[in-house]
Amino acid sequence: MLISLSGKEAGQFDDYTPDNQTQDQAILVSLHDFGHARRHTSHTSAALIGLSVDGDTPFDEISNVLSSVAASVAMIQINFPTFMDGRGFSLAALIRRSGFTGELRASGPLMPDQGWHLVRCGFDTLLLEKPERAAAFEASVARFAFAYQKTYRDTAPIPVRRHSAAEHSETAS
Amino acid sequence: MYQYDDFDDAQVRARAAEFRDQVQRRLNGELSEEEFRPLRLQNGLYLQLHAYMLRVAIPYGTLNSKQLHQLAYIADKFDKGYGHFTTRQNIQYNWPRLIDTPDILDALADVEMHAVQTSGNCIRNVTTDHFAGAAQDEIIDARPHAELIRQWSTFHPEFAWLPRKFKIAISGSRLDRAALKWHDIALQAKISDSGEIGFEVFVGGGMGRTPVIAQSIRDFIPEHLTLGYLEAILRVYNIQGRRDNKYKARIKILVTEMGVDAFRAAVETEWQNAKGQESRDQSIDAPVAELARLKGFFEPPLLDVQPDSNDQITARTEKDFLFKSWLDNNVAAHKQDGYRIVTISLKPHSGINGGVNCDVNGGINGGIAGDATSEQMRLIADLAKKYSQDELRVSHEQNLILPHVPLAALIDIYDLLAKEGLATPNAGLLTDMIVCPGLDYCSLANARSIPLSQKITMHFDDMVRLQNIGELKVKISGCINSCGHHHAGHIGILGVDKKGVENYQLLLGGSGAEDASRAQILGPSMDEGAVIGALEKILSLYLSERTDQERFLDTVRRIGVQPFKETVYAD
Repeated sequence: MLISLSGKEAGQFDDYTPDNQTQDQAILVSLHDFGHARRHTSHTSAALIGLSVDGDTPFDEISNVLSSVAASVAMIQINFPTFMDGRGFSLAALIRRSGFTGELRASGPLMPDQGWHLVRCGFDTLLLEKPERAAAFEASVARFAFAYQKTYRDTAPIPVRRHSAAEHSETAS
Repeated sequence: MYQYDDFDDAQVRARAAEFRDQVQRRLNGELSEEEFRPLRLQNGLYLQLHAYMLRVAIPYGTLNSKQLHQLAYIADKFDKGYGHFTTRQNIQYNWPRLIDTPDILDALADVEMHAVQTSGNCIRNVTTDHFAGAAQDEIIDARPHAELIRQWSTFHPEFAWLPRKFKIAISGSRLDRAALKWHDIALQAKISDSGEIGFEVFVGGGMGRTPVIAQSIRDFIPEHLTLGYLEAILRVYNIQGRRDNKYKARIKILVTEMGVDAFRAAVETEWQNAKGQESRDQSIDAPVAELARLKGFFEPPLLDVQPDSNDQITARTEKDFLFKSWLDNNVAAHKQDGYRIVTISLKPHSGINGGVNCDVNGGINGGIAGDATSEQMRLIADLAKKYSQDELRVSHEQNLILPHVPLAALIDIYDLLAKEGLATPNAGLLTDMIVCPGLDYCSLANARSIPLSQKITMHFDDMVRLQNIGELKVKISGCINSCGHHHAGHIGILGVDKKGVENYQLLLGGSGAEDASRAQILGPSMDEGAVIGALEKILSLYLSERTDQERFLDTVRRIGVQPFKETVYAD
């Protein structure tokens, strides 16, 4: 089950199957299979591509792909192997910092209490393993009104808010 | 000291509400213990041998009287009437009930306190020099920077699931009272040739199973660029730190395995990339105005002029040996004439103050290092309010500090402290030990450390002798996780398990000061009964070998560990 954490809707992607060379919907392809997909689908340059990567993937490998395919990577899915492995959060931050504005999706055995971590690191959507936890994830996203750190969501961090004239009336309630 | 604004208050309240929700979900079975564990750890709640243990944050060891009164209230209402001050300037409660912990967090939020990130694989309490703002050797008061780092690290969404815990220390003084080089990141304040304030950055220090002293990776980072640089270090660590082995997951391992030059280069690259990609509205650093705002909370207090000599004190020292000892050992010079820094020792001897001591364990003499009863906390809070600009500090050596005391108040303070067993004049001496909770409390321990420390204290309950020995930092850990900092002890004692029997290994020559060094193992471990005899032999050799004003540590460094080994094991 896919849920939105940031308000951005989850795109629909079909898993890439190497035999099917006429897939014309959006395809979800792993970094490993990307080269193959690029060579063998007739629509790679036109179709929407979802890139599925593991959380421990070096950012450079992803940025190589992003720069080679220009605008057609519409979604990047970062797979967390365990909820304790926080590399996916840094990977997300680096992907956002590089200018990627598409959908950033998390998958893996994450805890609902990580909802606000995900959103602030730039994730839009989450592939839920346990649909019954959707509400708990959404509650987590809404837990803190403001953040001490700059986040992807354009929310000014607290230290900036304190010194922006317009914010003086807008303290947290 | 820093005062919360509405933003800060909202953060701790939201966190307390989040935790209340998590406890609820644990109690109703929605969360398994395995899932609840990392969540409760990020709020400082451990499950120990006998009970839960809650570690409350005391940011950079600074407290006011209202906060200490609240800590006393929490001890009485939710615990057994005492608390334990730690080697990271925090306080621990050993007996809270899970169901009460949300109320405890609410009570803490009422006085601008919390238990955020005092455990777990995240950035922990930022610690500093407990004499900050008062020390004569101060370059800058580093606490505004500590507060800036505290806020930046609090609920940092990217660094809450690190390979392992992460400890940052910062110092603004020339002498290192914060054990900087034993931290994951250390910042040592300095002024550049052009008069700019900044820090030298050290990375990769740590104790635990593999003691390592931090290495410098940057000679100078300007104060306004520090956060961005720290973030680069954390990002490199989060991405590249080992996650395959819990005992190889600290940043010290990464720095050692990469090599410090490669590590430094990786941080530089990440930092430059971040700066290159920051937008005008989303700088990686805090606004300059924010650091200025924080500095406003740490302006030196306006202390009225006080004379730097006092006839009553002089007269008292001539007839009261313990008072004189207290002045000599527990009272330090202050940057302003007429004032002193007072160390309140939480390492009592039995009977030293006419039979009064803090007997928190129901009759065991010698007290428990670092513990204070709620009654003692209230007294100290009142002293801080009346005599020390309503401020006190927790030192990483598990004592409490009154930082701004006029000379003329020392006698009253001493007499009041003495009534509560808090005037032990042993600061910096042998019986001023750092002691971990050990097997009495901790599920990780191999041996008990508290009873040994008490036996040592009782054996050396002789102020004349202790002062003759002079500065001697003894540090006791109940296992190789090193929470008692034995690697940094002039004498370190490590509890080990030798075929089911508690044994102790002695180490010599460690230091947590600016001359940081790792203690060297003396020889095979011994049982508890043999430790005192070994200490006697060690001290005997020291006293016979020392030259001039050599401290114990200096003699060990000069003649080496071998002579000590020979005297201890000769039979």
